[in-house]
Amino acid sequence: MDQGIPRDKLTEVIEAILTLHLEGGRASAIDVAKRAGLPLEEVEALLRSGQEEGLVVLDGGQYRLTAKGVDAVREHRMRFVHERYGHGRGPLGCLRRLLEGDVSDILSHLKTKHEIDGKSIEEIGAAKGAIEEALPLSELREGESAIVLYPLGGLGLRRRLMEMGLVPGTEVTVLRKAPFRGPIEVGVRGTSLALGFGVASKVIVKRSGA
Amino acid sequence: MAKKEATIALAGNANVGKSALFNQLTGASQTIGNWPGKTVEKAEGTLFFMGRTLRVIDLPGIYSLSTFSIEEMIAREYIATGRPDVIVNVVDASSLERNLYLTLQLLEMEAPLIIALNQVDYASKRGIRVDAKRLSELLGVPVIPTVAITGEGVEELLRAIIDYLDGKIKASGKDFKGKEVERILEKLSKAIASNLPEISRIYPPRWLAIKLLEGDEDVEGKVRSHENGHLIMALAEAAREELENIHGEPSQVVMASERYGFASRIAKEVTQFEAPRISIEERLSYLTTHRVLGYPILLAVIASMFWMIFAVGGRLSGILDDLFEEIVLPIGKGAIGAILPEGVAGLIADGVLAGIGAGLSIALPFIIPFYALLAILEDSGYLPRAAFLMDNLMHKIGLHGKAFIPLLLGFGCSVPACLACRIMERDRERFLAAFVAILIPCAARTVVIMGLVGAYLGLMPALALYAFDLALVLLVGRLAYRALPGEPIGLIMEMPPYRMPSWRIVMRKTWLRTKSFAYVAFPYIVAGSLILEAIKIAGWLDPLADAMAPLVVQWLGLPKEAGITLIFGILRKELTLILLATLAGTANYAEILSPIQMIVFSLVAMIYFPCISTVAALVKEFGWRKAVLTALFDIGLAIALGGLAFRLLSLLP
Ligand SMILES: Nc1nc2c(ncn2[C@@H]2O[C@H](COP(=O)(O)OP(=O)(O)OP(=O)(O)O)[C@@H](O)[C@H]2O)c(=O)[nH]1
Ligand SMILES: [Mg+2]
Repeated sequence: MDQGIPRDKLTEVIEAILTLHLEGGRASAIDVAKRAGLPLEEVEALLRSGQEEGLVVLDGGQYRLTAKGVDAVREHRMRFVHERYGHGRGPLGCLRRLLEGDVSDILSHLKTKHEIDGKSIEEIGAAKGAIEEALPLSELREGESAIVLYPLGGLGLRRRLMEMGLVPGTEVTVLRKAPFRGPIEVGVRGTSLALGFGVASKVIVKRSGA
Repeated sequence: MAKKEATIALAGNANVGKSALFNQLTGASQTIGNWPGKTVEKAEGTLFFMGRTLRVIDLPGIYSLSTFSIEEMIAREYIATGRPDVIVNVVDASSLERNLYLTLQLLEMEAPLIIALNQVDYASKRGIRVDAKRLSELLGVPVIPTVAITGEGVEELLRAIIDYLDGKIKASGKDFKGKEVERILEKLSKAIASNLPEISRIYPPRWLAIKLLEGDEDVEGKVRSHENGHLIMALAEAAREELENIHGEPSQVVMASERYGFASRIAKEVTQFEAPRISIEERLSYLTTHRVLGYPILLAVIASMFWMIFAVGGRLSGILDDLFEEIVLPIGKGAIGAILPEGVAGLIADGVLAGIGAGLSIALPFIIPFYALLAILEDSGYLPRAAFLMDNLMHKIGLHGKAFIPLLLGFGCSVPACLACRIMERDRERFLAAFVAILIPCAARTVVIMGLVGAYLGLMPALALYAFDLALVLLVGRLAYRALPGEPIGLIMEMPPYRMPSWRIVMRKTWLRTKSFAYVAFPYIVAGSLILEAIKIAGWLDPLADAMAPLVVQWLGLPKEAGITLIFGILRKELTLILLATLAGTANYAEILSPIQMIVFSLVAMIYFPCISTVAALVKEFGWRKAVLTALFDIGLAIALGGLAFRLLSLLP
């Protein structure tokens, strides 16, 4: 709730299953409950309703996502990304968001209206962990550290960012932030890098230790 | 028998010391400084060592061999097809991990590699020790520790190069990827080698396979243009999918992660860290990028620079002027009068001698301290900090922080500032940056401002002129941004650590710049003075001045002679002031101009036309059309502002 977006518990649970699989670990009900940070009973109930909806299947004591389940996670993540990063959080962003109305095909909407390319979307779909933990690098405070989840944006920008060392999994520390949405200096792999505000808000990270 | 001649290319990340090494090797004087992106064109030099001729190439700094910027494209094509006999990969020992990313890509290209592990002095100062021997074992290429600014290790590097050329040592490096990746790569590269023999002769098949996995457009294009290309593309597509299924990540990310993973493992193994302590440099960096203090510091740095020029230059100028007027001029006049017939003697004495005198006493005293201060600033590492602070403001004129670097360099000379605009990634930004950078008063214009307004009216009015100019840059930049719309791209810039400026480099740079200023300026001063004197003797002066009078006298409120010197100023800006002295027969400008006229004159001289050399640079970088339009715009702007300033200032009590 802290980010103003309702956290759908079922999505949270299936997101946890996806993450467990990506990490190559087991996904029994207990694992899922641990991962999602929810009580076991609640998770079991959620998993049952997930099975009914055809999102998950039970396979030898382990839960697995169906194709529909994977799509559901992706859709959830896309909507989150759209609301969170597709528009500014100021009044202007809200207005634009309102004017767009309800977007039914979120994938093509992101591609055409927000210039987020297919590869980025794939990456977001495949990222480990719950999408709500993700935040743009630009929102960290001076001195905070984080792990890079994925860079967004066009092909050229993403490539450059990765060349400069910001590949998924890299630890970054915010050294300096200029005022008024100015650039951000980050420490990466023993060097320091200045990123414009726009660039930094396209690098999606997770607070380390969080 | 080994070849007598060989080509050596220097490649590496930005700001690692390639040009410093190049200068050590060849005795050349490529620009060195502490900010990334100085070298923008490849430079060549030669050196003779142990009976061989080595052709050395200095390349622009690059972070990867992808196709993000023109420089990277140039470097990659050169390495692949230019076939240098040896590539010296210059690597910064204090940030090994990031530097190795490029090294691994060079190894992928199977380039003949020797590593110069540079800046070992600085690294050990930061408590970083790199085991060169172990690094060499791990990568399978020679690694020579160097200190490019002192020349330490350069001899060993040369020996390694010669040994390599003689076939005594091998430089066939190793590049590892994960097991699955290697398997996929092998399958794909075999297919490439057997199906596309023509391309495989130019580029190593394994490298082509890597690039196809990464979805590199350039390589894809090359492959597609071949008969069996579609076959390989289909295979590559399948391989990409396989890879993505295994890793659950896009293949591009997989490849970048593999390289960084490998780089990071190697760096960890060969590097030893001693307890890191917060150094003065780090504290300074912290202070100068502070969200509040950073800005007054920036202002203070720039203002104190001009104050120093004013103080040192003003005093020197006075001394030199006295010396010239009292001693050199009478002796020179006497000597010339004794040798030459009277008419010619007058021409030489009044024209040439007066011109040289004015050049010596007005131009050089301001220019030398200025160049020295600029060199210190460039070598310290302050420029990227200034760029960081100004990023926001630069976005307002459609640029990003890096564009502030050419602006600052513009205080030295507009020509290198124009070239430095290549630091901007795209053509549109490059032109926008150059368009405003040439409005910055260069050293020659500083001579006019300081020699006239500074010397006669004081420091404050002179600084006010500079401040006005900066405001103008923002205003004009904003207008140009409106005229050339487009989304500005974001800033991505490495922030090099602060360094104590190397006195040797600062002195050398100051000397070289002063020398080239003198070499270029004095012929112009002499020629300008001669022509002006000839025009005067021929009696054309008054008609010419009268023809310009409506503009010069009525609109700008200047004495009519000023129009003529402004014409000569097209060649070099300081001529406007120097020739004014020649024309009036005195270097005491208070006799020629009123205070208001001094300000208007300086203002017009500051803006009205990029000098001939700058126009040439603009033409070279952006073509005739843009160069001419820019020049016309500046002339119009100067005339409009000059007239306005005259009227407004006259209103003051
Ligand atoms: N302490 C130390 N400083 C060095 C060494 N080599 C270079 N430098 C400094 O590093 C900075 C960059 O050196 P350059 O030679 O201009 O670097 P470059 O690789 O040509 O940079 P670009 O042309 O911008 O890509 C300068 O300030 C040099 O004085 C070294 O071995 N030790
Ligand atoms: Mg260089």
